Order: sequence, then structure tokens, then C-alpha cells
Amino acid sequence: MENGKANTLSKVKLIISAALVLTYIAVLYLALNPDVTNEYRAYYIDEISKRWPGQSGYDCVIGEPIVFNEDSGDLKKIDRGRSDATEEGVFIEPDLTVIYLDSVPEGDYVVTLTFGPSDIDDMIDISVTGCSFSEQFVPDHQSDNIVQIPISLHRDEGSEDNLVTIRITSGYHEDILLKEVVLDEA
Amino acid sequence: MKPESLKKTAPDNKTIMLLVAGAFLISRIVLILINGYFNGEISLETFLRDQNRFDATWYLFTMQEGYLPSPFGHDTGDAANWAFFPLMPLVCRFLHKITGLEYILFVPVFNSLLFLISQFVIFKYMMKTRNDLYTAVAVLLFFNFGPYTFYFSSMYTESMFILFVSLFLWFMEEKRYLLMGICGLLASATRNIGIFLVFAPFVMTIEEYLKKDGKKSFADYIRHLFSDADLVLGTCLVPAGLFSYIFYLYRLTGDGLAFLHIQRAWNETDDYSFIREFLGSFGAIYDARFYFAAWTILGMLALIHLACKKRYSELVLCFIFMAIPLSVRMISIPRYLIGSLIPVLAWAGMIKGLKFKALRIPVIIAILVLSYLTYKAWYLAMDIVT
Repeated sequence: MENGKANTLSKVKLIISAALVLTYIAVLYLALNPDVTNEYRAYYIDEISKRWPGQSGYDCVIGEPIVFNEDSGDLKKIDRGRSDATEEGVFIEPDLTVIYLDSVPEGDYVVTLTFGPSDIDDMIDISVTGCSFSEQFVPDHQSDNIVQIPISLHRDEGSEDNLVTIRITSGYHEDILLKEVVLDEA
Repeated sequence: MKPESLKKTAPDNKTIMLLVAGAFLISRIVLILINGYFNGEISLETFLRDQNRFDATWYLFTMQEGYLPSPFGHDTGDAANWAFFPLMPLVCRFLHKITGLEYILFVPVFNSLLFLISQFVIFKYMMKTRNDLYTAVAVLLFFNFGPYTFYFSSMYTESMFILFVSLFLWFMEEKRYLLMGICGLLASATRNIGIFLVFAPFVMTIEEYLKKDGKKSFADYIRHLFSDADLVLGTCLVPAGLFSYIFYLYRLTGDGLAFLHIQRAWNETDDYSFIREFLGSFGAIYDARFYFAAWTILGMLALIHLACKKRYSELVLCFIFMAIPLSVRMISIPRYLIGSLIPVLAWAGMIKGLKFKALRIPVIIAILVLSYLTYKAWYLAMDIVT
């Protein structure tokens, strides 16, 4: 009788242990599949962004210009390459500048970047998520430089695909003024 | 009585309590007096307020406000209190609600009491496992008068953690596995490394199994492992503290591993490499890195000592408790070593086992000098003791 009770108790303890392990597996599954914003995922989990922009820091509205002057809250969208901001725009280091935009649904768009006049004589390369080629231009010395890039976005799991990443690269180290970025429907 | 006989005679509980209480009271009074010397006046209240340093402000915030769903701290706005585990703040918040006492004043006192209780348990554990009064006393003196002892009277989790780890080890030795599991659960809710206590019973069962007579096989070992339901359940209980917190963080932030990911806010460089930092420190002996590297070497010596003494459960825990913090940064390694209990047990054994007994006095003097210097650095809020 005593042996029977002891056996039953042992079995109950082993069942509880199994239930605990199953619970841990379930919680681990949740932990490995976080439900977070793209800003959070890019900074804390994938560690692809260098600055923390806030939970909705990369959000943009289709058709609404993102102006990068000194009073703008959108400066945090420039993750790398940001220099001084002025009334007209922000100086960026064209050897590697990275801008992130979020909350852009699937579809076809045109990304328009407006740069100020610049003395840079070298090619500046711009690549954007959803465009298979990169756009290149040599800045005009006198007037604003407007670059338009068509993109086609498909929703996917990784943050690299959900975020629209704009990379600006050049062999030059002199700054160029970035005035605004607009994302319009194609 | 001959010294050899003293080693084998375990003091009764009353004697241990007197020894522990005596060491505790004297050490805390010495800290208050040194604090008074620094301040120009002796005041218990000033001493308690001066214990509020560095991460203590994060614990205080957690006690007062709980956990927030988004990062908010540091100039960059990327820090949050998720890395600071909930059990100690939760208990203190509960005590504050009952007593109404100011956190800054009662939390260091509460943690000091936890530290006092832990010393009793550690002494008992040392007598049971080492059967050597001198080593047990050496551990007691190191914790109370050694470097970083002030952490055990601060708003940090070290006191609570070593209490639960020492209880875990004690109950494991006593084969009271359900109590062992509950203490492990509480440890894993106090600090993230607490979950690794699960390895200690595994190592213990492997040792026991290998000592058994008869043919050995993996299947037979599994049968041996599951033959004790209390051991299985006790071991399975350990992660419950951590996993409860993971689930809570998932519900709060969407990221169950937020306590790990938020470490980015404290990392000085994204490309930390322990090997590079450790080896590089020997080229800069006046740099703080050399100081942390020296402590790392002491940790490695503790590992060697435990391996030589065949204390494999403690060896595995000591290795994990060192490797986890060192995988992130070398700074704070002295606090992590002392605050994880096991290295101190090893160091006490090393001092006791010194072949040249004349070395003991200079070693003890060096420990006391370092203890004073680290407390001064703490008082001056220097990063070297963070």
C-alpha cells in the first residue's frame, strides 16, 4: 500500500516535471518569435541599426515629405552618416549614410531625395530596398539635386525587408546637404 | 584540543550563529566608521544613502515604477530596466507597502539581513562539504571583510542571490531536492545566471552514477536519473523563475528576451572580444582593464582549485558564472565573481592550502587593503567598482 502511494506520488511529480518542461518550451517559442516594432528589431535583435530612434521613429506617411532640418523630429531616421542640421536640411557624409523608413505597405512607389547644391565632383550612389539597381549622380554645383528611384516592396519576415533602407555611398568624404525625402505611390 | 581535532569538530548551530553574527556586526560597523571617516561624521543614515550607487538607481526605479514597455534611459534613450531581474525589487516593493519605510534606507538593511542569513548557510555548507573549520571561517571573513563586501549592504541583488545559491547547494547536499528546486527557482528570478544552477544536480548524478558498481550505459544513466522523482522535479523547478520573467516581458514588450537584448544600451563597443580585451590588458598595467584581467585570473585559479579538489558541481557552476558575464564585458567581473559565491569558496580553500603558511599573512593584509580601496572607490562613485 505504502509502496503504491509512493509510486503514485513519484508519477505525479514526474508528470508535473514534464508539464513544466512543456511550459518552458512554449515560453521559449514565444521568446524566439518576438512581436516587436521594426525599429526595436533592427536595433536590439538584429543589431543592424546604430542608433535607437524610438518605437515609431522610422514611421513615414506616403506622400508626406520627410524634411531634415534642425527642428525636425525625422532626423532620427538617419541611422548613420548624420552630421550638422541647418534650417534647410542636414549635412550627411556621403561615404556611407543609411536612412530607414517604416510602415510602408506592399506596393510600388517612387522615392524622391532632394539634395542641396554641392562641390562634390564624384559619383554619389543611392540604393533603396525594392530596387534592383542603384541610382548614381554627380551633384550640381548651383542648384538642388533631385533623385527619383522607383521601388517595388513585398512584405516579408526579416526587418531588412520590412524596413525601406536608403544607402548613400560615395568615394568622397565631403558632406552634402540632404533636404528631404518623399515616398509617393508610383 | 589539538588543531587537527578542531578541524573535524563541527561547531553547533548556536556557535555558528554567534560567529556569523559577530563577523557581520563588526564588518558593518567598520564600513559605517570608514564611511564616517570619509564624510567627516558618523551617521547610519548617511552610510545607507551612500549605498545608493550606479545600478542601485535602476533597482530603485524598478521598485517605485515597475517595468516600462519601451526603452527610455541614458542620453540615447535606448536603456530600460529589463536587465534588472524582478524578485528583489518585488520583495522590497511589498515590504515598502507594509512598512512605509523609505526605500533608500530600508533596502540596504534588508539586503544586509539576507547576507547575514546566507553566511550561516554558507558556513554550514562549508563544514558539511570541506569538514574544515578554518576554511569555513576563511570564507566568512572574506565575505564580511574582503573586497566588495559593501555590495551586500547595498540595493543590489548580490545578497539575495548568494542566499538562494547557498541554500540550493545546501539542500542538494542534504538530498532535499524539492527545497533545492524552490531555492533554484528563486535564484533564477533574482539574476539571469541563476538558471544555470540546473547543471549542478546533473553533474552530481553523473558523479554518483560513475561511482556505482556494474556496467554503465547511457540508457542505464537515464534510468538512474529518473529514479528519483524529487530530483527530477527539483531540477525542473529551477528555470521557472527565469521563464516566468521571460513570459512577463513578452506580454509587456513583445520580446521575451528583452533582458538580454537591452544589454546593447550598456555595451561600450559592439565588437567586444574577451580574448582581445584579456590579452590586451597585459600591455597596459596601469589601466583598469589590467585590474579586471587580474580578477579574471583569480577566477581561473578558482576553477583549477575546484578541479583539483574534484568538486565538479561547483566547478561547472563557477565556470558558467564566470563565462556568462565575461562573454559580454570584463568590467564588473570582481562583483560577479564574489557575488556568485563559488569562487570565494575556492579562494578560501586556496588560502588555507598555501604551502608556505607565512604567505597567509601578506595575502590577508593585501585582501584588507584592497577591501579598503574598493570601498573608497565605491564612495567616490568610481567606475572601477561598478
